[in-house]
Amino acid sequence: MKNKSYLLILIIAILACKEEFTTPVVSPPTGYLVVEGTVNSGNGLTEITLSRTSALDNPEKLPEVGASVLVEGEDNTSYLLADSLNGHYFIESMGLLSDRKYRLYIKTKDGKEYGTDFLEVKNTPKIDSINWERNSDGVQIYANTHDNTDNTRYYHWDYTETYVHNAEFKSYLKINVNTINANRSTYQVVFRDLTNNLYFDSSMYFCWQSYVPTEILIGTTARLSKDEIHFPLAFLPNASPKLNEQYSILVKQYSISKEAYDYLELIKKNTELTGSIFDPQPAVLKGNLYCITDAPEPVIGYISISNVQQKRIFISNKQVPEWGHYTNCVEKVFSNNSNIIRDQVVVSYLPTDVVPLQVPFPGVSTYYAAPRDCVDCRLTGTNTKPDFWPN
Amino acid sequence: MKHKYLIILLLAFFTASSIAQQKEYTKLNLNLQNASVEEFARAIEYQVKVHFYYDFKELDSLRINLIVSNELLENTLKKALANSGVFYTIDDEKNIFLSKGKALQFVLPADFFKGNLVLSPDYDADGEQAAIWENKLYEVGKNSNPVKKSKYTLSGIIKDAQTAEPVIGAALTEDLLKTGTITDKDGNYSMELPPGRHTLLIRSVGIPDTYRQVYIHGDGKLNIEIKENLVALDDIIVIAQRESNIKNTAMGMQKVDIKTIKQVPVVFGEADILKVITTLPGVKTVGEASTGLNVRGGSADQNLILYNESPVYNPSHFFGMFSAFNPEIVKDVELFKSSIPARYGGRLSSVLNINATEGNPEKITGSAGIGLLTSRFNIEGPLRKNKTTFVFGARTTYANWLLKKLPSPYDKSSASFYDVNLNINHEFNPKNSLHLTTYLSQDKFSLGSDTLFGYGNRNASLKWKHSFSDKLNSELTTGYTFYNYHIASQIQPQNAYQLGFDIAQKFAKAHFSYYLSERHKLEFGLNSQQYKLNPGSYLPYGDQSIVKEDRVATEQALENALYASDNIEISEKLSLDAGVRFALFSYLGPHLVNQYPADLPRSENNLLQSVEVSKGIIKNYGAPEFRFSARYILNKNTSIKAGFNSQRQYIHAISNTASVAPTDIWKLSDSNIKPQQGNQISLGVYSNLRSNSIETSVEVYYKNIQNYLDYKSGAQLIMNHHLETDVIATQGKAYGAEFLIKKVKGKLNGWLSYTYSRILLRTKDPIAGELINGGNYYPANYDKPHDLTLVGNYHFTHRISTSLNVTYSTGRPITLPSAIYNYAGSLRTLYLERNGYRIPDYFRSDFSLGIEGNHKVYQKFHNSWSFGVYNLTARKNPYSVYFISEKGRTNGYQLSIFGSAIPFINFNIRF
Repeated sequence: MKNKSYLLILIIAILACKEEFTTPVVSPPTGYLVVEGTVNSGNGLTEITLSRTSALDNPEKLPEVGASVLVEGEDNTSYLLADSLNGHYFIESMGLLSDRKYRLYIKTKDGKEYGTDFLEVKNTPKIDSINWERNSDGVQIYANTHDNTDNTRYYHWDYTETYVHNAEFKSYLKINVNTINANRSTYQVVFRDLTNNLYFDSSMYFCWQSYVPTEILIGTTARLSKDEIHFPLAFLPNASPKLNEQYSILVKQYSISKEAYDYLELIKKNTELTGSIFDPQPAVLKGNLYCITDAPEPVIGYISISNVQQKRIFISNKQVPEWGHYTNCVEKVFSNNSNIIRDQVVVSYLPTDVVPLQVPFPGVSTYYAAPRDCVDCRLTGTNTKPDFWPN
Repeated sequence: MKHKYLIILLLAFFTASSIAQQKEYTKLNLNLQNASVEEFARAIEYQVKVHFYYDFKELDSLRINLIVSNELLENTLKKALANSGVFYTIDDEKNIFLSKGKALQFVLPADFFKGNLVLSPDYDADGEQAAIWENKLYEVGKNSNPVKKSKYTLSGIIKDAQTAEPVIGAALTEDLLKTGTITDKDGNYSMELPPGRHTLLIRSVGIPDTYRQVYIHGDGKLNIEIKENLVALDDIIVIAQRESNIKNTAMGMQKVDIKTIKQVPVVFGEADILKVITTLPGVKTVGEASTGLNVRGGSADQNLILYNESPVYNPSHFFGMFSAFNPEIVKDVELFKSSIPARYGGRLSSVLNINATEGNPEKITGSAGIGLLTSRFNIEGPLRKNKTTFVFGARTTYANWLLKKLPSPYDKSSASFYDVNLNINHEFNPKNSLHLTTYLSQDKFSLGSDTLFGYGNRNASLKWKHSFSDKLNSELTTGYTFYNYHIASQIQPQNAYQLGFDIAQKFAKAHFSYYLSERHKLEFGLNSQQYKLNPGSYLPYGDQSIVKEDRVATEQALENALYASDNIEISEKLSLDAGVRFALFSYLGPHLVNQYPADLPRSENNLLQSVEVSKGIIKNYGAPEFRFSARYILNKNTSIKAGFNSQRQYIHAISNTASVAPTDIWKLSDSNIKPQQGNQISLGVYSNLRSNSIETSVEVYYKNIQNYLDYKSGAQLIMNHHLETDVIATQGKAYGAEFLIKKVKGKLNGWLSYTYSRILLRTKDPIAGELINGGNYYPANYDKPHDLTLVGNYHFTHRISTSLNVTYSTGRPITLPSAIYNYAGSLRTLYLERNGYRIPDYFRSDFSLGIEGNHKVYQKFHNSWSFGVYNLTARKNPYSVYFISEKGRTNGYQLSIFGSAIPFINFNIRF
């Protein structure tokens, strides 16, 4: 017994050591410029995102709009990116030459100039395959690639997941509002199609949802004898709704320099790794962008120029037997009473289906309803089918 | 009883060269009622210049009633002792001997002193004269010595009569001449005395003050055996400095013996040498899970940790939770943080000497202990009585039971460590002895089930002590030290790897001490050490692994040093210690030498070429190092000291973690990495109060450091073939003031120390590439300006004692984010200033209660219990603070290693 209590205390001692920390740092009110993106030398879109750092105690998105963003070549070629007024700057295929050097040049609306040195155009090898493996915890998706010339060595990926995200319940019913005067309305739940009890609103049932990871995905084969990599990307834990029906992942692959890799690795180390005792101390970042007009001003970001390789795969629920289904959605039963609908249903519930009674009454006397986002998938996704989605 | 007679008899023989019975002295006036022999003797000694000798136990029943006025001494004695059965004898030196039963006779053959020295029963195991008794006169040197000098050398060893272990730091003084000396670390002493009779006062810690009578005829040897207090449980807080606090020329030296170490409560109740050292002024540690010491602004690798002369690279178990030394085999620990003797070199901040016990030469003894996480066993004793002794100690842990209770995935973790010590000492004769020290420690962890981690130390050394004469002693030591770690990971079979690092060091040392004269004590010698590092190997692990084998090229170097120092006693008050050490460091081939342009940052892009240099010297570094300290005694209780020290360091541990990690790599100086240099000046005032029972000191110091290696932001330290591109040579300045009050004796004892200190670094090197914090001074991550420590012990009875340990310090610097930005879909933190902020202040108090078993001196087993609580106030002292991006938000967390009060219990048996 004595031993037990010691044990307990020891375990508490070991586990109860992580606590929230309130920082004493006061941040500068005007943030520093943050530049994110890869210059796509090949076909396809180049997207550069400009934003400002924000104070620690007030994290917010501060897009930098109104800047001139240019890709400039050593050969005096120049490409202006379009400002979409939300911090994103775009340009379609520029077709940069792999034997030339290019730089990114930015002039912000306050007149400050920023840029990189002229950078080499890296060549990204094709993605060999995207495969997935199921283990006892879920599905792990990998990127597989190799470079026979052993030149790439450092890889950067990002991906976009898209999956069928149907509502949890079909909605056969709707609420009719009968406005009597400005102060008084009556409510009634009725079938959507009074002639067809099996009709439901498919526009709020069939949806798709997208997800972009919040993690920097980089890998290297520098320590391997072959420039060949099997890199874990997304992980879908068992019963993840992403695989309720069908799931798709689009993987983009970039070849980056060792310096870019080190930089991204540092960002990861600084922010993604947990603070075990022997984790490295956070490092001060130094990217390849600098302020031309005010040298000491920090600029965050590392720009790489390379062509982009991409690949998409699909996984359907049928391929993962006994996947499981997890939901927070629960239906409740309400009666078709105007006051009840007004007070309990209309704000946060949507009616789904009628409660079948033993003696069939015409009309709806009691019915099920569920929280709105369990019934209307448009609240969390889109009902527009993506163009790449198979029929 | 019989023995005492003999002594008195012999005393009489030695001292009475002519027969003398009656001499006229001043007359006496006495009025004694029922006086003891002591009172009687004192009363007479008070009035006339005589000295009484008697055996107190023999005469303890004697009661004297006496009234005399203006009486002669002889008549007084006759009257006093009439019918008591006690007889007296007076020699010509005015010594009065009282004896029971019969008077002493001084009848000697005429040629008595022409032969060899009279055989005395007081010879130690080596056949050397051993002074055991206080009231016996020991003769030293041959009386027939034809050359008469004004002074002769008396030397020998002071030993503990029971354990035969040398007594270190014992003060030996001749009261009348006011000269004295202190025994060295082997218990040796040497002093000059004019011929004739002297009374020597021997004082040492844990031992009552004791006297020896000597008669000097010429140079000679006299070993002195002293007895410890027999009260076994009367622990005395032991820092062997009492007199030496004032008299020692060295400053910034602290010595802690194992009794003290065991009293200080520590986590899990395992006595920890290094944790106790951190309670001393000027010594800090980054945090709880770290046994890295930071001494006076030095980094952890700037301490030379020697276990019986062998350097130890990783002094910790369990990532720093425990120190790697078994407390049962340690005798004491010495820390030099200011005056570093010239015999030590190669590290900038301090030398920590861990001395092992030598083993009981008389009988087999041992102890065993059981704690919550560790158990230990040790045994020591003679292999051949009084000639060969051994000490064996072993410790192991059983923490797995604890880890198994953790939630998944940690429950698959395992952790274990052990350490084994075996020391053998053999004495051929009094002039020659051999000492073999071996040490082995190993740690193993697996985190989850797929990452294995281990590290270990291996040390062996052999020391031959030889005494050429009373004045010249030597120590020859040779040894081998090995440290390695390895990490194996098989999370993905394709990438499964095994990473390894090791460092091997062979060394040979010759050290001589020469007692030139009363005024000059010389030390000189030669050190030679060879380093061989395998800075990293990265190998495939398992069949499926396609990991490319990679090895960072082996590094080799030779460090040779010559040194000499002189302890000069200019006057009774002023003494100096001056030393010089010249070390020559040679970085040896074969090795690939990376060359960079002189004026550009060292980076991979700027690499000019890599030249393969075959065997031979690639780069030499050599410079003299100066060690100087002076002491001036202001009055009996106060002295001031000043010192200057310069040091160089040729091997560097490079770390970018918060704490000293077992995986920190070591790097030798080479053509791109210069040796570290440090200069320190210090000044101190030392004062002892209340007859040396309270010691106080104030020391101030200023230190500058050159070429300390800090890491560049995001440095890659492991498996780096060009480490010079990832580190920056920084300059440092450290300064501080240290205050110490120590109560050495009494029921309540302990110490209170306060340190104000700073350590600031800056990068000024224009070719560093990156200037940390814009080239301004920034605090090192162990900069903790205020540090207050209280170690207090209170003995309620001989059996029950308590200890309280209270520590407060400023929080250490950390790098905190300056702003937040959005990158790659997540809010992230921006760090702009290294070590710009501090974690909250550190406060901890620990308490322990020790209960000894029964109190009989003679019994087979003594047992004891200790209970305690670590971190009594359950304060969650943050060890580190970090910010992580979680689900698009940035959250700050602070990590405490011991976030609650931790009770512990330990059971110990001695036999």
